[in-house]
Amino acid sequence: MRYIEALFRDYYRRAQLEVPDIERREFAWLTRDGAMVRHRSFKGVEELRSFCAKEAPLGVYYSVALYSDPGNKDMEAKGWLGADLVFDIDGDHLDTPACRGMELLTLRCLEDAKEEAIKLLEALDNELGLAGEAVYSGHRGFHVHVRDPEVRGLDSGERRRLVDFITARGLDLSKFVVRGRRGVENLLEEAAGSLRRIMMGREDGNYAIHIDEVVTADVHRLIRLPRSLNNKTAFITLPLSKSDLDKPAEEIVERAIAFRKGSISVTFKKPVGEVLWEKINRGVGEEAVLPAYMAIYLYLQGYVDLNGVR
Amino acid sequence: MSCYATSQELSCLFPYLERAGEYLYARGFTLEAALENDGLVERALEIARGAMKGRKRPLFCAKDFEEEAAAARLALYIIAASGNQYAIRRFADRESKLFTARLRGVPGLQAPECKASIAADLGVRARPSREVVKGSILAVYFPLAVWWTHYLRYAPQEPDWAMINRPVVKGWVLIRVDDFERLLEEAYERRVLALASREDIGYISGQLAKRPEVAELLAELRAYRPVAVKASVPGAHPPCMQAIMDAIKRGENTPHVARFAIATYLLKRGWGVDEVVDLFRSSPDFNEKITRYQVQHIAGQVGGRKEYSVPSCETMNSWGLCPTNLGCGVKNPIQYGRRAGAVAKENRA
Repeated sequence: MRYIEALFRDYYRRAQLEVPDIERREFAWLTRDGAMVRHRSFKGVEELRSFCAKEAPLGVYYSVALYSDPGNKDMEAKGWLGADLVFDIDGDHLDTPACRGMELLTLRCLEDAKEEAIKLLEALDNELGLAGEAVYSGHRGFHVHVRDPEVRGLDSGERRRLVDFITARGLDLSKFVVRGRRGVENLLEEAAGSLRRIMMGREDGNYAIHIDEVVTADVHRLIRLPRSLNNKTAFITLPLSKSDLDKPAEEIVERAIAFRKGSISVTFKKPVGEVLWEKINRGVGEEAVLPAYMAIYLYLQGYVDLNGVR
Repeated sequence: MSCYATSQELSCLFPYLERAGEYLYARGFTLEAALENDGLVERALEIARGAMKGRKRPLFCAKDFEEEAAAARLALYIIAASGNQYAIRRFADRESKLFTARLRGVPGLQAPECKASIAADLGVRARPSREVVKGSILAVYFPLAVWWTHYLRYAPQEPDWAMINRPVVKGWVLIRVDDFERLLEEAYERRVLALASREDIGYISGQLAKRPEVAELLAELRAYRPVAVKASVPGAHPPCMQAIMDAIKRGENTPHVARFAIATYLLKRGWGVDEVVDLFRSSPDFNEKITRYQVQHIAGQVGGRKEYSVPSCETMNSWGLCPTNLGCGVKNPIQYGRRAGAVAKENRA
């Protein structure tokens, strides 16, 4: 674990963190013992970066909420000022053939999660006029952040109703039946806004966008800091442009790899078949020399022991 | 204001709009001046008493527009000064329903631009749909557009009102005129409640108490209580149903889905229609005839003769009626009492 810590420390020495409204947000991090430390605040990005370079936290999180006193431990006394709108799309929760029962990350499942993220971004734009910023979570999914001042005042009930809208809960197609000439009833067919999603849903039966409902409704949520390292993979939580999302999932993961150099000898604790673009095919007790990023990923997932760095 | 009505007529029709307050102030109707006007005070007392007794105010304003508007505002302050939350909610409910009736019934207010301008006064961003979806047939079926955040804030929390059941284009939720009016009713009710909790209500209360007849009504209002609910159901209740029952007993205006859920639940727990109707007597908008019909309908005694089941925990959660995200160990609220009974039996053993 010390080796991983040293790598994380090294990453944060040169990391370029960006946190809008940093002084108004609560920060939290995972220590090497797996404990979550909360209710901290930073005055600027450089202070945060230096802290990360010194402490090498395994995971760094910040609040979607803005507070007048973000470091206060008493939630009531923090002074909630508003919150970004965030969405979490996790491949682990997608009921697709590629994602069902997935344990280690596969590109096929990540492609499915990416499709869902694209669908969400399009819906936010076409239906609500919102510009979302996509972030690869550094593991099995994507986050979408909306920082428009318009959304910051939404309370959790309103966010829950927005979740219902995004997930098409309670959709009643009869609401779109209109009476045309000679009293003939038809479904409205206009490819505008949400009607476009509904028309497409009538073809494939899929009206919903699959998001983690709890995350979006929570106005105090802590979410992984963009450009921080994911404690489950050691991949970068990577902000993406719209054109990035058009690229294959493989390219996104490639860019999220923080530790490219070198290789590491490992012993397998559990059998491993296919991971990302690699066919590993090793059983319990077997040894192998793997690229550093893959060895660290499997180590953090509990599949291997690290023997030595080559 | 794009409405075919004068400022004084609009103030009389909708006395709690911001522009009505400004208009009355500009015309010299301050609190102090209003309290020196015997006729106006008398009318204010009549409006306040009428609201508590369920008397309807007339749909149209025929004469003395300004005095009627000032009296309605004074009536609200009298109710608010009593500090009785039940009386305040009942008054707000009455006034917001009158608001909708007037918005629908007064001929000069029927243009979409007029309704949108009334919405703007209530803080609801709205436009005629034809300005939002130019050239689309959508504007014909859904003439008004409400900004989505305001739709989420003010739409009744009922499945029928789920935003997914309205066309939503670039942030604008397109709705039919009657839905728009219903949505504004909610915004108007919140406006009345906001005026009732204004910061200087203590000062207003002091001024009101100087007039003996107002002080007398204030004393009556302070003692005004919802009809006590005597009946109770033995055994444990799931947190969702307990929360709804508590809210009704406190005289809160619970959403339609909550009332539906508690009625199905209590009927299944063995309550009769009369007992369920009695429970709702403390609701600020109670109407015996309508309530009785609806409860009988749920019990399968009238209408389609279908007895409704208790909504599942999943449905209760999606309606926002589950006070905890953790669940309570059952799939349907009706199972809760049985489970709690079984646990108690186990503990005793």
